Amino acid sequence: MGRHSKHILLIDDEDDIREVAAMSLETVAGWRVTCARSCAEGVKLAEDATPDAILLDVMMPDQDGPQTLRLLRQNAKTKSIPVLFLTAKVQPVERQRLKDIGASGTLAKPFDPMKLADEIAQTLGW
Amino acid sequence: MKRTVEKTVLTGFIIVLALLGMVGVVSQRTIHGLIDDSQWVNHTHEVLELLQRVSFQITQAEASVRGFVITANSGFESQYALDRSGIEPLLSELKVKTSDNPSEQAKLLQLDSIVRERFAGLDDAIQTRKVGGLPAVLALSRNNRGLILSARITTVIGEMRNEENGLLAERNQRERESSRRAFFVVLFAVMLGMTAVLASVFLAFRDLTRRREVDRLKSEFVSVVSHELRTPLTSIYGSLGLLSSGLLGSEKGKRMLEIAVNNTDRLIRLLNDILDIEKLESGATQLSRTLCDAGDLIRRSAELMKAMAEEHKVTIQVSEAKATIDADCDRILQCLTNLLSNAIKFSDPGSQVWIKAAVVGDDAQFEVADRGRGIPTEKRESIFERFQQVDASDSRRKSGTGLGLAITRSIVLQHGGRIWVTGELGKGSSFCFTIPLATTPQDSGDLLKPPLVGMSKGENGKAF
Repeated sequence: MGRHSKHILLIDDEDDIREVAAMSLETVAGWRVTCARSCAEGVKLAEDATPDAILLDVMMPDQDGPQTLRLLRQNAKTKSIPVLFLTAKVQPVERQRLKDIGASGTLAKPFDPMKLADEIAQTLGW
Repeated sequence: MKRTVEKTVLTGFIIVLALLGMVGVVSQRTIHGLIDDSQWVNHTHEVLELLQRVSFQITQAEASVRGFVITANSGFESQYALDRSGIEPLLSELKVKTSDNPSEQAKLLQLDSIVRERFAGLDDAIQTRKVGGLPAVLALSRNNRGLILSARITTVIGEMRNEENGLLAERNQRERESSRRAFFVVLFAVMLGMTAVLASVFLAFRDLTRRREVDRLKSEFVSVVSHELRTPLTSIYGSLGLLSSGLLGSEKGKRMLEIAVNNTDRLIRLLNDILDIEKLESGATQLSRTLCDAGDLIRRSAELMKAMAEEHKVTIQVSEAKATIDADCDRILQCLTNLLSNAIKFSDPGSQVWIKAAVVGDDAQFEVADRGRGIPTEKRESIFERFQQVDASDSRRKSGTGLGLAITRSIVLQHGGRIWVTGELGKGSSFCFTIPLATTPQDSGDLLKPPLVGMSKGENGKAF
């Protein structure tokens, strides 16, 4: 499957991380990126834009990653969009826990901006 | 507080031993008293028995004499000799046993002489029977002397028995009281011992819980710190990685560099604050105390924060104050600038923040107030803990490290002061802390005032 014209929704409360990750995906892979700074904003954007995949931060102040994933899974419009977590905790136990609640994969923070798109594509089998 | 479980257990053990020792002494005395009282009860029983035996011995002797008088059988005579010889030891034993009681001794003397007289009469009867036969004895007994003596003996012995019975009642009562006392002393001892053991166990358990809590907080801190460090690192790594790829144009490249620089700065501040709080809380930081003027400190802190205030379009109102404290001036300045920085960050453009100092009791009380959003009542304690902002996203939006208030509190506590926050939600907050006044106030001319470049002396209420 081609890697062009993918649309990613990025949900992270850190302004700079959002900006860097978006620039990485746009510049390196040529993907389109939509950004959200909170769970609520992310769920709404996911409904409206139906992206190809969602990159989700685990630790966020209002509602954290797993809670956001639950909301996305409960929503008919968003339940089939693959979700990848961005997390500092990359121990196998944690990865398995996120997989168990329905994540398609886990990407480690800090990430290599040149390989981020590749990692997403590989994880999702694109 | 560095109390260990071992210390607690040892202290508890020593207290238990001391208490048990004391209780042991009291118990020993009480039980001795009880034994003493029991011995007195036994003693009285012995005296009563002796009196009974004296009475019986005399009755026996009289019976033997009657037998001889009637039958002239020498068997009765030898029985009488036996009865007679038995009375003397009984009387001397009685004398010994009642030696503690003068009234019984007097009665015993009386009894002794009557008994002797009675036996003399009985001896007489035996002799008279042998010489003059039965009629002579009958003639002899006509004066009723024997009967009178017998009655007197019975009376005296009765009186002595009454006295002993009275004593017995008294001693029984005392023995019962001693028993009760001994029971309560021992009960008290057991309860005291149990309480001490339970208290030791409780203290040891509490210490263990506390230690576990410290361990938990430590690992939580490590986990939070690792997350806090990783966040700026992610931005730095990402932006520099993109820059080095050469894929970015100059505009995007400049923005990535900016992100890298900003996050490097954040990382440095975070590391500095982490090191600072660790040093402060582990006690590794020594305060270099000098006499300093509170008014001077608030003016200098306002001067230091002037640029930031201007950037946020906020003015700082400084009140005049006069108080001398013996403190680490740089550290107090650090507290004041921390609080001012928060006040400015959480104030709307165009608003004011206030900094004051006043003498309250034996302390100088500093206050930094703003008209920002305020702090909810339930967060007024936790706000001083590490990484505990009112809103978890504060540190990101307001670019703090999340350690400023924890550092401020630690400094204030090291100076022997207190720190707290008041205010109303939505209407602003007021952070106050106290530092004890210097005990020997000196002329302000002696105060140490490190020069501050470009500092202008603030007038009362002057806005920087």
